[in-house]
Amino acid sequence: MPETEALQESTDLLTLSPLAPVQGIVVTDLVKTYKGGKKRALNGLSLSVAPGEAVGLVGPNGAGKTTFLSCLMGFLRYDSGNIEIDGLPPDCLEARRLVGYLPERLTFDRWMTGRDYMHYHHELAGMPESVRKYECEELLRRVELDAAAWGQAVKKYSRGMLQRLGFAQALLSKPKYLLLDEPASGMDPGGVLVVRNLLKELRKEGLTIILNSHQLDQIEKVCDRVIMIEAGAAKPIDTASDSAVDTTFDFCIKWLNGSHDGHRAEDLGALVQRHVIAIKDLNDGQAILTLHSDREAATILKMMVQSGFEVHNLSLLETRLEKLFAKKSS
Amino acid sequence: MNKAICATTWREFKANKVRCSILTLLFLLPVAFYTLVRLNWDNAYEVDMISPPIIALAYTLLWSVGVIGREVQNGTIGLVFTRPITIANYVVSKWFAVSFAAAICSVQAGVIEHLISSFYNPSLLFSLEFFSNCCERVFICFGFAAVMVMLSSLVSGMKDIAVLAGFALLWGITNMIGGMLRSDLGIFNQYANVIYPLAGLVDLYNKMMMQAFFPSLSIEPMLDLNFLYLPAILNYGALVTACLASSIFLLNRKEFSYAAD
Repeated sequence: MPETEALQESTDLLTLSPLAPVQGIVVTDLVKTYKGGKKRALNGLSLSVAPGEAVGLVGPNGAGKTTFLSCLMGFLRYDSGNIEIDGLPPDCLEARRLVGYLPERLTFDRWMTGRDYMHYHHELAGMPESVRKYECEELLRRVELDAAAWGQAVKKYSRGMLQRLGFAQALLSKPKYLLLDEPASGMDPGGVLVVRNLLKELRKEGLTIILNSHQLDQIEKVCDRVIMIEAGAAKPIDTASDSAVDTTFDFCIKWLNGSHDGHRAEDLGALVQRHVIAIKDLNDGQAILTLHSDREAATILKMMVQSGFEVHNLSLLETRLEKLFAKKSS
Repeated sequence: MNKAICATTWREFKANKVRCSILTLLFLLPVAFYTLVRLNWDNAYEVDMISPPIIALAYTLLWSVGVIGREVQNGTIGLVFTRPITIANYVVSKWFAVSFAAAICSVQAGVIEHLISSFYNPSLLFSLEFFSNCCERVFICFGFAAVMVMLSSLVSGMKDIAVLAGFALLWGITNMIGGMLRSDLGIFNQYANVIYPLAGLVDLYNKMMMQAFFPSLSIEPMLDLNFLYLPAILNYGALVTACLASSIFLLNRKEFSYAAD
């Protein structure tokens, strides 16, 4: 037998062996109660996340999302069920090396400077001293924290700056799994974009991400899968085929009013009437069109441009996930 | 033991202006006091004017109050435990950081006082009394810091000082009761059979409290190679170990979640 085939066979056996540790995060029937069992925060939550996958957690406030993440980090002792991170329990030191965590309301040693804070956590993470300065500064640059603020005490930081610092510390140990609880909370629009781009980059690098966020557009843009946590249980949401949502979308289209052809709202009505489900708020220079898909939106955009409309904006008013969430929550 | 935790504990102290000011006062006040004594007492130059070792309690208290409790209250402890750090490692690191710093400060203060005395009377420079004083200070710092680490794990913030004050008050009351029971019983003399054993119990309780909260060791019997002193060393070691073990146990029972319950 050629050497490569033999190696392949042994690898297959290892994969199939029941003794081989399960890769990824596997949560089974997780139950967590507070107040001596009176309040059930997690009620038999089961979930598995494969390596390299990005999973979004959505759900109303108090649904148990942060409790779930705290259980994954080993901060909370769960009543029953099981959590495995690459086959390891969450409070095991080896599992902690694999996970980076950004809590929603991260607290800081306020007397430290941003640079000190990174160095401290770099050392706690057991990373080598020889690369400490380089790696910490690289991460601070990556989250676009202003270099002038690195040497300032954390107590002088704004909420957005703290969130960037928190994000940087979550990446310090070069984690395989990244648990993010509202990473863009308190950030300005620029910060939100930084987080979104960073998440996309991290995905490309193969990180496994669990993202808890109320910014549904962010989840839809970054995650492969969305899980709704409601009353302590996980319910998968399939945004592509969930029948609970109607299959129409509202698009807002804007064009330059009073351009040389003098296109008016009535002209648009006549042009797209046969292609749209409904036209709402039709004004000179703006209309809201109800369509079935992005493809239809592209067709209408093409038609309008060909007819001489100077279109300068086409945007989706409510994403599918937002629609689904609103419907499920109600 | 974790170097990063120790260094951060020291730097946190340095960043706190109130604590630094109190530490400076702790250095200056005994020196000022002994200077006043020298000015007013003719025989002052013949003795080594150095504070008693018990002053190390003040240094330890200053360094160790809220050492863990403040991190629990601020929520910064949670993120420490996202790193591959065990609770035992954290507790021992905190204990070592505060005991070592308190011991250094306390011994340094002693050395300054001793050098001033030696300046007036050079024959005092290598006195055994000074050496044993410094050693006892170190033992007090390491012992009392272990007690403070335990109390700090028990309560959040700086409430450990309140717990300590509570125990000290209780100790004072029982001490007073012990004194009353040993004094003339007056009209209660007929109950002496009951009261005297009770006084013995109260005394034992007071000694235990004293030993439990302020573990220390006297050096001079050890220098005499008196092996009868061995149980005291074991007792000290056991107390420090018990305090640190209790602290680890208490922190293990706590949940450091960011979730609202």
